[in-house]
Amino acid sequence: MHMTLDQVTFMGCAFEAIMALVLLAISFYSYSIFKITREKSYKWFSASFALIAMSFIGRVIMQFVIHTNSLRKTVSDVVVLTLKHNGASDILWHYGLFSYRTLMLLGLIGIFLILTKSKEKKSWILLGYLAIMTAVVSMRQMYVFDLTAAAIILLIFAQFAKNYMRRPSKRSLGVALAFLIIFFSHISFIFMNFDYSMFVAGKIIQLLGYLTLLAVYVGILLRR
Amino acid sequence: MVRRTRLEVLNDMLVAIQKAGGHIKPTHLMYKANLSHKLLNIYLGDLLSRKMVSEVMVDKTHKNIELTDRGSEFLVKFRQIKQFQDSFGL
Repeated sequence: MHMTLDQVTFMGCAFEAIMALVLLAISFYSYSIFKITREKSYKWFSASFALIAMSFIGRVIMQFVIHTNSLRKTVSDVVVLTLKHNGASDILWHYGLFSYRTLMLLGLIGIFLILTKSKEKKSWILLGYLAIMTAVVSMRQMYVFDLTAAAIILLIFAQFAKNYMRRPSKRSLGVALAFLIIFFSHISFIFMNFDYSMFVAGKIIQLLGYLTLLAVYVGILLRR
Repeated sequence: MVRRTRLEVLNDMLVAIQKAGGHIKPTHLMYKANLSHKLLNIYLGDLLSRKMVSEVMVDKTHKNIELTDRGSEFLVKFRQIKQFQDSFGL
């Protein structure tokens, strides 16, 4: 499939904006439950989803700013992004990517710790530190971020699968499936250095995962 | 036997009123919601302050508890919260 950088960037931004909206909707809903029940798990669940939403929003803004500042080149089926040797763009690219990865990992770790009902503050601090360090290392080795994210998402999926076994329903299955799909999207991203079409495939899979999550959320809201 | 959360007790009280046709005597509510007299007063105070129920005088000495629109809305919301809780395993 031949796609220009404009198309890939637009597709990526549009998908990420949709995913951010889904995450924000779940985050607000979870916070509204916290306001009624005063149970802290809902507050932290809401914060974790908000962190992942913020990571996507930040990335959309970063891509938009950089894209307007870049030279576009398409070589056969491969899209090559050539940034102008512009100091501001480089800084934005690095900080934007670092923030995206850090927020995403912190959000995922947050979800995992809430699902496992971990109350040990030291584990939260240690895992937070490891998330930041992973984001730092992944600035040199890109696959480190996607590999780590995939591993955490797989653990989250295991928790949701356990929940489905305990309370079998279409919705609990939907949540588990959504995270399994998102897991496969990160697996796809790992190989994007070898083949850029893996990035496009990964984005489509990732969107499918978040749309599954949206279907579950809408299903809950429609229940009367 | 698992202890009910505050939210579950409030829901049980509202369901009891709804099942009784929207209004109920306080003593009947106490039995239907499985509460002691002391706990009934605490939770009823909570529901009254949230305007989910209202007290209606039947005669000079007797009063009924009535479900308000807000109470009915809460029942819907509670079912959604329960669904959210079960779907995400929280």
